[in-house]
Amino acid sequence: MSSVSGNTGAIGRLGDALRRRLRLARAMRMGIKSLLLHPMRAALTALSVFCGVGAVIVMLAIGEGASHKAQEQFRTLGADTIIIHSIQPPKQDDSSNNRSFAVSYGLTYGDLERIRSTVPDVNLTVPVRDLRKDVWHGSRRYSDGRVVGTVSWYAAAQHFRLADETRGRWISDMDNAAGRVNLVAVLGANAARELFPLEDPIGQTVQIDQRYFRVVGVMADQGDKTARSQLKLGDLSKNVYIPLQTLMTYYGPLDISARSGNRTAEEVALREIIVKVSDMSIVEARARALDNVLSRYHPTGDYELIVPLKAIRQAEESARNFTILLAAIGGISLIVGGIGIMNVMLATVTERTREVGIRRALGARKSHIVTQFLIEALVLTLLGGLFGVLAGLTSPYWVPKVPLFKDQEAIVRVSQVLLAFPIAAGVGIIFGLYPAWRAANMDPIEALRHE
Amino acid sequence: MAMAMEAVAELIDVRKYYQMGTQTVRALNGVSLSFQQGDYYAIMGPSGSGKSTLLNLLGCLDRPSGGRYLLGGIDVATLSDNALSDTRSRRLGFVFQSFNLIAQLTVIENIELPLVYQGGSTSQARHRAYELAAMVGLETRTDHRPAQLSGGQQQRVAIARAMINDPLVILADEPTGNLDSATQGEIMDLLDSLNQAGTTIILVTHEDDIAHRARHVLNLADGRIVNIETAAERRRRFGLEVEA
Repeated sequence: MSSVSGNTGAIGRLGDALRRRLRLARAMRMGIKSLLLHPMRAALTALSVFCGVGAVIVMLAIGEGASHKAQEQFRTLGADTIIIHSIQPPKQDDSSNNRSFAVSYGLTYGDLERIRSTVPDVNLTVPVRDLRKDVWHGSRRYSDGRVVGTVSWYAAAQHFRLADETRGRWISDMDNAAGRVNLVAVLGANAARELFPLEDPIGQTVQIDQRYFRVVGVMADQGDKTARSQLKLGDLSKNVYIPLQTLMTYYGPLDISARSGNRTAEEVALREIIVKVSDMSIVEARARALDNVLSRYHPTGDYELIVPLKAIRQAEESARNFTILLAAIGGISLIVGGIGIMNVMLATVTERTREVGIRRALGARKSHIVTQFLIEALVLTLLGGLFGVLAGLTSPYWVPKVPLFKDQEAIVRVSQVLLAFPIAAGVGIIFGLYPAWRAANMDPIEALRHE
Repeated sequence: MAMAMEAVAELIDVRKYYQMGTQTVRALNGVSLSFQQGDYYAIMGPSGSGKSTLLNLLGCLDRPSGGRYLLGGIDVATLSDNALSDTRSRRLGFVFQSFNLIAQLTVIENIELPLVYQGGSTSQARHRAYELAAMVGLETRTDHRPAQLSGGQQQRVAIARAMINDPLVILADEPTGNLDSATQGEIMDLLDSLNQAGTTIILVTHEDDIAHRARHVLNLADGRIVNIETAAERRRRFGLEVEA
């Protein structure tokens, strides 16, 4: 016997595998036949699974979409940057005896030098100084933004691009070269629209106080502004940019502006210092180092450290929480679907008690009965699951069109879809198991007597 | 015909007790009996005499509370549930009063069902099922559902199903109880012909003219064997002429 089976072992195994496959296919066909005894009932049950599986995939896709959106917003700020922002210190109680004309606070050139010399792995430090000034073009006044003095590498650090890469330029190193006072300006997209609604701004002039600046470039729109406004950073598109050195030469460290009748003056040397570190992984450590360096010279706390990476992380986390919530909702629908399956299978088993008795009498083992009813439950769940997966796969197309979701993106991950089938099958097995077990454990004699 | 004397099923002091509340019902109270290969038995008796219990035990649907039941030499009382199932699918054939076909399956699928549970090759099973369908005269109805058949036709399907595993014994529980008298005759003729071809048949009935067809009639009362008559003795008792 053993030599024979040795020779034909492979063929025998193949035959066995084929037979098993045939048996399963046959069992599936039989299951479908039994389900078709009550097509309406089967369809409704499959529908409940469809809702469950569909809900899981669609909810995950919506969560993924929301997460993606949030991350994109902050990514434009640069994950490897730290923005240090001057802020007005909390009102001091000795303001009555401080009769000084200007309120002085914020970052200084000294800070810039200290950062450059003491914090390692810093690739770029970008000084930014700004003023609240009206900008004129002829009789057209623009007072919505700020006049920002900065350096050539600011644009790169802020992922800030020219509207048309082939025309115009950003502030150059030459503009800020020692001893130079270049009267050039680069307009943010908003400022350009307001000042030059009809003409091409490049080559034209704008007036700030008594001085005329030649427009050398127009920047592209900043795209999504949610992230910057969420971090209380101004809208870059509203600003007018001039060389830092020009601004310092004409205005010095003072920012005088008239507000509701009385004059106020702020003395802020640098509005912002943008620090770019060499690697994303050390951003948080360097932010702590920066804070240490700065806090010694700024006991009033007149600066603020903004770490976009932190914001990205927070956005990721809140998106994750959102996704978990959505997945939980989907999961609950799936459980409800499963309960639907169980309910229907219990009814089916009771109704087919006699059939169970007949099958047992004809030689079905308990396991055959379990398999039979499990397969019926599986067919229902897989059928529902299939349509659920289809609904999920197509969700990027239809979700943004559903008014309830208001342009919400949906991103389907293959892994989630691939997971949906085993999950649907699992629901079928878990909720089908008890009814199947009940059927298998009926007393065959009692079952045969059942009317 | 030497083989014919081999016992296919043997009951030795078989008892079956049920607990009904505080009362013990003695459904079978010491039954000893052996069935030979090719035998044809009718079991008779008033209701409550233990007919159904005896048939359930013979059909391996139940285990005796005491005594031994040897089927093909194997003691059924010691078998596991799975082994009992396998015994039913390989060694026994059932014919019920209410046909008990499975509604969603076609005639041919109903016939081959016992073989499906043996896990045999489906093409062979199918081939054998067609042979049996032809034997019971339903070769043109193989794709019909039970609901599309008459009672007599359904019982033919059930008989074909009982034959598909070449059983040691066919157990028939009032096989004609749900049929009109003309159809009754047809079904009994079919069973008679199976017996003449060598199949052992045990049937439960309460109708004398059905019992007359059997070679032995077992009379049960209160869970005990009252007597076992041969066909000749019985026919004489009923004043019928005895076949030569």
